Amino acid sequence: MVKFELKKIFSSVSGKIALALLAMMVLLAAWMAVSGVEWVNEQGDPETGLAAISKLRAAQRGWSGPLDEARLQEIIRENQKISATPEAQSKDYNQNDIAFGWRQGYRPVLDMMNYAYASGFQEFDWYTNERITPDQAKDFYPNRLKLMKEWLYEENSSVYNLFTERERQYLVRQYETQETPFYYTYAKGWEQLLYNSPFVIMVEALILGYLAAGIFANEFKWKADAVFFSARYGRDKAVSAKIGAGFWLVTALYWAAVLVYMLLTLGILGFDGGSCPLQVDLWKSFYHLKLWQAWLLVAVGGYIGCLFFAFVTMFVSAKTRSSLFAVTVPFLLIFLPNFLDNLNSDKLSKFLGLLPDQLLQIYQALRYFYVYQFGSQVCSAMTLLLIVYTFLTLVLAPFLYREFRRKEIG
Amino acid sequence: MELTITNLTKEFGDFRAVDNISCTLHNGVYGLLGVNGAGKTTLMRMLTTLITPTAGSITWDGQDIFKMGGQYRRLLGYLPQEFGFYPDFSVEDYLMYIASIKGLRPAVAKQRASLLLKQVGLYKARNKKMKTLSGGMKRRAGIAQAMLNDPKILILDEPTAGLDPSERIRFRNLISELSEERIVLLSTHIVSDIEYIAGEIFLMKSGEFLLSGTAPEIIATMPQRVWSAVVPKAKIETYLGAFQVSNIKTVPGGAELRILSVNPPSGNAIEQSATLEDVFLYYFGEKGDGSDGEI
Repeated sequence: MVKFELKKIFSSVSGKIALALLAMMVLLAAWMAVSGVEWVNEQGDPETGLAAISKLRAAQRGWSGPLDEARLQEIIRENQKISATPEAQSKDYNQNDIAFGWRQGYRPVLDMMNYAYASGFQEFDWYTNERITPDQAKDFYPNRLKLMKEWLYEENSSVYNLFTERERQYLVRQYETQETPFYYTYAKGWEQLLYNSPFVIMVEALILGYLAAGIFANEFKWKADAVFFSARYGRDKAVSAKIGAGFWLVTALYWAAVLVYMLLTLGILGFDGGSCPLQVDLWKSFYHLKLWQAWLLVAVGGYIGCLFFAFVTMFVSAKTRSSLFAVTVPFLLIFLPNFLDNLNSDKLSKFLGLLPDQLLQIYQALRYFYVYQFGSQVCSAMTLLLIVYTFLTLVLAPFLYREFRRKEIG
Repeated sequence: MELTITNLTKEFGDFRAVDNISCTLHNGVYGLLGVNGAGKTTLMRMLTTLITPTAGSITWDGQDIFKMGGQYRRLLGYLPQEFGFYPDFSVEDYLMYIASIKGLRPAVAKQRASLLLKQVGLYKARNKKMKTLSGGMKRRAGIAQAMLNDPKILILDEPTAGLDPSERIRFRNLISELSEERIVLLSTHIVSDIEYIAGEIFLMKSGEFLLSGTAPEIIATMPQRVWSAVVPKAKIETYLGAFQVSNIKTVPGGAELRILSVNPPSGNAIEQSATLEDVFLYYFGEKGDGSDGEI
């Protein structure tokens, strides 16, 4: 029965188009990830493509290793040396680009320095790294904690009331227990993979939601409901098969798309750097994750999110008997929180941090400081999102079953 | 094997679609005759468990069919009036899917589907997509799906609607062939469909059974006699106003009318044998013609 339910979806022209669109979007995302990697050549001109990737990889591998005080001093000195060159000091942008090219091997470290030595936790100055002296290298990690504490405990700031004392303590503890020194190497593959993941996963959620919307509603649309419900299993096993088809539709297509996206991106950009901490990419993140773990979290969270979206869509389609209305559900679930987020309310944003669209953009959510206190326990948004939406998806399935099997065909 | 309907009522808000009807069905073909809106489809939808009654009961061998659930539905074959299907499925896939939700094992399903496809004359078209079939072919696929589980109760709601005359005759013959050893309940507003194949007929009007019995029994209940009279063209309107006329046939010099009347409507009127169609006209005040148009 599940096989036939899936066949109903994919034998239609719209099903085939949706599948082709998904394949195109995955290829587009992989292309965006790969083409987003640039190498600035000796003339200061940007290059992309396999040769550029190879040069960047070689340059950054040359600086591989733990970012301890000695290595940071070495980078600061090298950076100072380049900053003193005529090319770096020139008013000609092209000359500046040539100087930029010399720094590509450790450019991500300079970005980390721009955050670590900023005047405030939420400040960023592109040129901060040029003002650092080697003797400041020892402050690299302590500064991360210091700036965050200042931000959390600044009583006059709008952020202060956003956290309870326990939540503040939780965040501080996360920073304090972060393993240092960070390991640095070429990790562009994982970074790009993560960076473009919200696009891939949101597209998947929309397309899978579209495909799932018809599983129940099309019985009514095609007027096949009377034969369906009058059949022996029309009010039990056949309904379960529809839910099963929804589950397998999401599971198979989601993981196939994610796997293709991952293999294409990492296959071209390289698998190296997976064991670097997430902070190499997202300096402020309080989550203790390696890059590969962050990707796993993104992929699993996205899967739970897509499954939840599809089940909600199926529930709405079963309830309203309309796939047209149901198909708008994923759009609303994705775009409504984004719209509300523009209202610039920190408290609202903290609430929005728990909505299911966050599961589709975990890479973005890993930047945020959304933590929630329940009694004496403090939970990160990630933990809550994974637990709550796994539970809700599981709970939704029997409701969906009950909703559809009790339909009357008048 | 006995399907018993007792004081069955179905209301939709203030509207009573089926009004306190009772009957018992055994093996054989039963015809449910009535104009559109008489409550035939609502009754059939209750018999197929698609809707629940407001009052009354339906039992199969003494057991409530709604409590039996799947055990009752496994005995059921149903061709709805608006026969929907999966447009991109081939005929064979469609039957295999319906067989699966009817609980047939794949090997049995394949055999049954193949047999029925041959029986309904669709074997050569088995790989065609359902959406490409003609109206008659779709109906035949519909009857094939209804027969997949060799049902003990076969319910056919307006099975010949939309078919051309030759398709309709083929279809009637097919239903006759399939009617052995089961209860077949056939609803229609086309009198001739029922006249030929139904053993017992229920005349349904405004949600109630107006009459039931065999065709001769029902015909015998009509107090009117049937007359054939040739009248000049100019007088046709007068006759139509004064009598119930079940047929008008143009003849040289005027028209031959089929008139329901206790007494001869004119001096040259010749008495005819009454048919079910005349009864239909008498009770429903409308003509139950051989076409499938709205009455």
